[in-house]
Amino acid sequence: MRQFARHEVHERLRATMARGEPIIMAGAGIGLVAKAAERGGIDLLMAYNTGPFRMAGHGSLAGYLAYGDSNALTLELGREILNAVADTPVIGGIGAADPFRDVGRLIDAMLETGFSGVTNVPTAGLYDGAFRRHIDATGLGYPREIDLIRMCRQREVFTVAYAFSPAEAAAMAEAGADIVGAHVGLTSGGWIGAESAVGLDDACAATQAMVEAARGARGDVLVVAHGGPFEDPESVRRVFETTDVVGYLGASSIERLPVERAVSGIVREFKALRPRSTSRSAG
Amino acid sequence: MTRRETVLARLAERRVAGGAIVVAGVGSGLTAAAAAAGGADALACYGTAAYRILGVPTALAFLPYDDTNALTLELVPTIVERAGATPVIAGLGAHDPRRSLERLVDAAATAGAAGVTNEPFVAIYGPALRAELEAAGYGFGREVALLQAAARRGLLTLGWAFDEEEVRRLLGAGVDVVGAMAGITGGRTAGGEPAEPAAEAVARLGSMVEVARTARADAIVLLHGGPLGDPASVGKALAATGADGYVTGSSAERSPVFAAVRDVVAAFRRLPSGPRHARGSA
Repeated sequence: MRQFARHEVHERLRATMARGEPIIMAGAGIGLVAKAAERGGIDLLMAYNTGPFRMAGHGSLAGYLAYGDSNALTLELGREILNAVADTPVIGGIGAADPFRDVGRLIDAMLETGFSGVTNVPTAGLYDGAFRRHIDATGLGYPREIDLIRMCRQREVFTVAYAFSPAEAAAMAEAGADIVGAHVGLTSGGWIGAESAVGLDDACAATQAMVEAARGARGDVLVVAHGGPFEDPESVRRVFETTDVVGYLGASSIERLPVERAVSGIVREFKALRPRSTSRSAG
Repeated sequence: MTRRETVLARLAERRVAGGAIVVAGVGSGLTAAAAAAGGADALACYGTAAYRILGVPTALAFLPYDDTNALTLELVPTIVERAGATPVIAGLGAHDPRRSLERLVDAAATAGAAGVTNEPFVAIYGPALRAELEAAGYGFGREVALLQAAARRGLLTLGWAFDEEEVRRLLGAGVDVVGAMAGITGGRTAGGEPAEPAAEAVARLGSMVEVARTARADAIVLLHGGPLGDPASVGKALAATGADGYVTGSSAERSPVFAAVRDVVAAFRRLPSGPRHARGSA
């Protein structure tokens, strides 16, 4: 495991872009996925509390309900992921609304664990309606995540900030986020995926609006696409062709959907074989 | 008699006597003892009650910083111990992906609970997340299944409903007591947006009571939340809606505890210091 300073992460990303390649980032909820993603050439790995739920066969959304201490879970996950990779920066999620921990000390704990950066997961951005207005007003919401990103930037800690609207993308860029993840909703597809409410064209338009808002606020911010209908290389090709994102951040699309398909497929293949003994007894 | 039958007999007696049924939501042994001393017909113990005692915003009980079921199950034995003969209803999160509903209900029964309620509930979340949760299998249906598991275990069930449709589904599933919810209590004191206007909230509660009585004529319906924060407003709402009683929340815990401690500390602080000769400085 190697820990990267902020400028070292940037050098890595610049090298990727200089080769004309997209920046590809992956959420990893288990060490095996982190290792396989590294072999595939991933630029950055992301570790946060929804990953273990997802890879345990539950919905990623379980990470947004009150069934676990997200920050403890991510620190625990860090030990697993960080030891599974050799030379890839791993970004850890911080739940900024934690009532029992100081955010500054959480950043310390993430760095001490070996993470090379911080992201705002779990994020208030997934909540909506009256509940969202309530948590934003009571200091448990998105404004606190903007403060988290700003604090990281002051400490030279690399950040990936999820944003859900042009206003949030601009606020995160202004706060100093190195990468903005333009989030267009939970990833669709597969067995336990959410039903995507947005079509591909609308998702591309929403992504481009966030790219423009973020770059308007700070010219050198990197924006990547995430979520919604961007669930496979074909759909991601479309967002690369129609927007100005520099890359893609996949979580369910890189770990859940491929594992679902690969394991059920190989089991089916084994099941299709016929042992000599059973064909004899059937005869 | 099962624990469920014992509690139901108690509530039926109260109903015959013509008094409002009061279930007190408590998050500490001290407030449990005080609520029992005040004559509460039952106590309810759940994540938001535990948080308001800690002095942190209660919305946290719906965010991923704790295991709400572990929190409640740890608290229930203390509450049961302090409650004496008053039955205790445990609030359980039905969407816990790592616990089966049967085991969860078993744990509550072992901890001494006489009943189960579906808190935390997904109805608190906004429409977009709520739709995603329903699609992912973490919806209201699991809350109903939790209550059914509790009933099979011989426990009383208190089902929270946010609208008429949820009232129908709860009664269709055989829930004993319906809690009609008007929204988060005291949004303003917690810094949230002002609650829905009182008249509208009471009208909405009234139609939920009506739906409940149509589904089951003798259904026990209790009110909670929104503008119902003191005995006067609750009295009016009971008269207007025909509900059987009220479940207290912040109204009988955070607000009175905060005011009482603040006032007594201020009263002590208004005392003059002792006479100089008693200090030995002379």
